[in-house]
Amino acid sequence: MVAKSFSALARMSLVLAALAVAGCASAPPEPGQLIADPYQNTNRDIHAFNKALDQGLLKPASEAYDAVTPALVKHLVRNEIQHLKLPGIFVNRILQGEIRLASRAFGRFGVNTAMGAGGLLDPATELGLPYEPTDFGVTLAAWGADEGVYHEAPFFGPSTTRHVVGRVVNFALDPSILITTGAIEVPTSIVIADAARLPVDVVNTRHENAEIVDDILYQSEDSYVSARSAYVQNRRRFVTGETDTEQLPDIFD
Amino acid sequence: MMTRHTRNAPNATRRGALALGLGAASLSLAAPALALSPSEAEAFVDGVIADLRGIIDGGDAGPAGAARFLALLEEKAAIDAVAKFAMGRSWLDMSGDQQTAYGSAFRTYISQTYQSRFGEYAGEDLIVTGSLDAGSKGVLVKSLLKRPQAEDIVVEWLVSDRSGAVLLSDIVFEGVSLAITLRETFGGMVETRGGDIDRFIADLAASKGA
Repeated sequence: MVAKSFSALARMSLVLAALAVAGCASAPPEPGQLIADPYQNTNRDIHAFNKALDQGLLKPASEAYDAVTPALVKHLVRNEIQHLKLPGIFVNRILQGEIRLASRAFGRFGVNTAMGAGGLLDPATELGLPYEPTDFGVTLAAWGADEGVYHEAPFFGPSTTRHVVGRVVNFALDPSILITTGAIEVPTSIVIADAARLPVDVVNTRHENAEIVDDILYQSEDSYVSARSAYVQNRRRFVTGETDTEQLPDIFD
Repeated sequence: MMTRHTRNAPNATRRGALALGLGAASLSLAAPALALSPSEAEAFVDGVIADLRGIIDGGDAGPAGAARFLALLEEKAAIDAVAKFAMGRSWLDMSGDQQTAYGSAFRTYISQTYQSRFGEYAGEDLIVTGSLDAGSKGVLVKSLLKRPQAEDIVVEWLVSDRSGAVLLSDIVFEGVSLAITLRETFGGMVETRGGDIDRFIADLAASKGA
């Protein structure tokens, strides 16, 4: 009981610390610049590390995954990865005050668990409950936290300050953390599945976006700038949920 | 102000009908200022997609394909305005000769870069799904690239008649604007060359990817 309330307290203070960090890290970009990048020198070093990691490990792993896995299995894997994110999405929708979207995530989880072989199949989309992802970075934005500045994080890649914080807290908010930390007793097969989830997700995501990632990292003039530009624009759209006409370029200006 | 026009709605929900109603209401208010109608813009994009499909599915990835691609851009896109936008504030520091040389390097660069980028999606369905009023920037036409093995991609086309003709101002892939990406890329290139515009133009003309 004491341990439980302590962990709730710890989690709450993590969230508050996250908000404080996200709140104070703001520096306006120079005119005509997409985002402020005050740590560019460090970021470029980390980018070189991430790029080497991709070249040596992630890219070959995702290509091997693509080569050895039948299309049907890849399809099922994608469904299951998305399915397992729904509890975390549900929690974030509640925190965002998006009750309707929270209930849709809940409904999708229920339908695909019961009628979709535990999430391997996706009858919910046909029933009007498509996958609608969100994360704690979006929740922070809904709470008014600034985007912050640009960072390239080791392993995770391009980020804003808000997204760095969002990733950490998102991990803590996902109910599956109870399995990851061993707080609840579950069969060994579920513990293994939980541990495999992150690497499978990373490899699958790299595979699904292979052309664009390869273009950015290996075909571009300056992969650091290309990654930053593509990430920041794509992330902003994810946070607002659709293209904000304010962000469109005014080429006749 | 954002007005939404829904077309080919797969499941006409109450929300969709409401949005459509609100769209119609605000459209009638904004009508005098809006020279380019959503349906005109959507028809224009349908035409551009058909032209692109002709080039991509023709399978010519070589210089002939790039030349056809460039010809399409010259006809359907506000290419000089995009080129100018992509230089940002550096444009004003450039001499007339530099601007001319840059204009030609820019054409080589985008035709080669985006020919291969679009080529990656050959054979996949691209359908116009509706449009959004982007105010003075024009009309943003929405389309969906259907990928059987992965998530669909939202491709948006910014269409404007500010130049006098109906032209494409930008293409946005999942929020990533081509014009802004070019501006970021070129800004980075100029910066890493210590502000040497001539070197930048020469490298741009010789470069083959973005």
